Amino acid sequence: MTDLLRIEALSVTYPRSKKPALASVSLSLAPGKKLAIIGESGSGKSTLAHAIAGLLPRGSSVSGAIAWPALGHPAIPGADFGMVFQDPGASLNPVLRIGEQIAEGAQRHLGLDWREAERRALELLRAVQIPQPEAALRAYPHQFSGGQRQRIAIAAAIAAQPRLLVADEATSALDTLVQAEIVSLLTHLVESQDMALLFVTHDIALAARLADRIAVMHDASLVEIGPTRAVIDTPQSAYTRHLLSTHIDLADPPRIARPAS
Amino acid sequence: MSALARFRRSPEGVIGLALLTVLALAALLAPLLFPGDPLRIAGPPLLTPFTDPALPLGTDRLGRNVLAGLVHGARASLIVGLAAALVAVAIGSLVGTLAGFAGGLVDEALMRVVDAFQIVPGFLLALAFVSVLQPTLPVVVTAIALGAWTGPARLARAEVLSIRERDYVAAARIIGMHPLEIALREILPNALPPVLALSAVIVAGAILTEAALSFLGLGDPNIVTWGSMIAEGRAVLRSAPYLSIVPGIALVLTVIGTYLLGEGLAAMLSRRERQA
Repeated sequence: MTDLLRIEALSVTYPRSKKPALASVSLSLAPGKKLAIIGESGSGKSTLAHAIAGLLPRGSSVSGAIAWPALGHPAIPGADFGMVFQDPGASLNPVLRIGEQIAEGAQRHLGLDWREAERRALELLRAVQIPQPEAALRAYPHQFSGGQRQRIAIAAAIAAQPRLLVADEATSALDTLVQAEIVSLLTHLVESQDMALLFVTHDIALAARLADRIAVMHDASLVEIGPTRAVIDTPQSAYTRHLLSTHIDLADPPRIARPAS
Repeated sequence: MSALARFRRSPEGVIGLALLTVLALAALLAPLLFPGDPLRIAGPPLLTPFTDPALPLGTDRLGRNVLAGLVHGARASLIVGLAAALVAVAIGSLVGTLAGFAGGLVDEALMRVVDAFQIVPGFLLALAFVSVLQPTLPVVVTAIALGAWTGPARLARAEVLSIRERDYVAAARIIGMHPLEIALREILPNALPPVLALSAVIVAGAILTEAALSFLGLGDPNIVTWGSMIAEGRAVLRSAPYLSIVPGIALVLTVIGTYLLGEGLAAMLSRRERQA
């Protein structure tokens, strides 16, 4: 099968920085597959997501190639990929109504007129399970909780039926229960609409639950990539083993000492 | 709590709004309250206030009705103040948004233009502008706006610099919006609240500048303004001080009302910011 996204020897150096933020990273993503990119802060995982989305700051030096073989043309932002950001408080414009923000992408890329786009926005709000979607269309972002805002941001990102959804730490700012809801929503949406998912996270457990394949990044380089089970069960690199060993599970013995009664 | 309820809870805002409402009503109803030219002779000259019920605030040196002049003068003050502030805020926030969003050379160039306007005292600029051109209402408005647009421009730019890094701007870029559209539709409305709070100060400043221009005889000679009334009374300041004091009080009340309304608006907007 032709890959949806193929990245070859991608290096990125931010302006006014000597050290590359991304050093010769190569990976590929097949249509409809879910790839998780894990790593600690500063490992370059978000830089990778931004490079794919074309959001690198001006003056960044980039080498290597980002190709979209399954599309047959360079990706059109919004139409071919959508993106969800980390902070649900900042990813929606506070002065625009929810309906407007979701309908925007649909109107722009699907050639719908405004009324059709609004109907599509309503559909999407239902798909991301926002209560009272009709009222939500006319509401403003501050009227929703963080988890709901992230659902709305997801709805806006997939409004034009992109082939790839990039989620850059999309659940990191949410509490664990909401996180689980968003992850199951993402899984459901991706599988039902045949979208590929690029999920950037620092949570290896989340990555293991969600992804078909896992890419581990450390210090601007890709240290390991492979099917989820293989990476978790038989990690090839020392760094992945280290990440796995530092993961705290609920099954672990409690680290907060309880006072003896 | 809605924005309106928050506004109603700030006493400054309510007082300011009340003052300006009275003033705006007076300005709007001027032709009904005092029909005809307020510059025509209505009675004996230098009539002291509160002596003739038909001319409650007395008359000036030429026997013109002071109250009629006051009410008609409110129109000029309000129109010039609001129009100049509107032009200044519109130009300022547009220039500031473009400079902040574009960055680089465009930013440098635009901000040096702002500097050039800012280092010339606003009143001097207005004075020069009006003396070169004819002192008509549009010219006076432009002259005042020329000295006042730099404040909003700087403020809007500073706001935009922080807003353009937010995720929703990146999101707008991702759905393929044109940069100009992002600047005007996504960023500008979010940069406006502090600029709007500043605009009350600009209105007050514009009203004062207009009064100062008319005081110096550079206003439109065919309309009554408070500044021209004060200037008119200057010659008889010792014998009939009320001729300068009465329009002076009107000016003070207007400026105070504008400031208070601005305070109320700022309180309303800042609370909304915190909530969002």
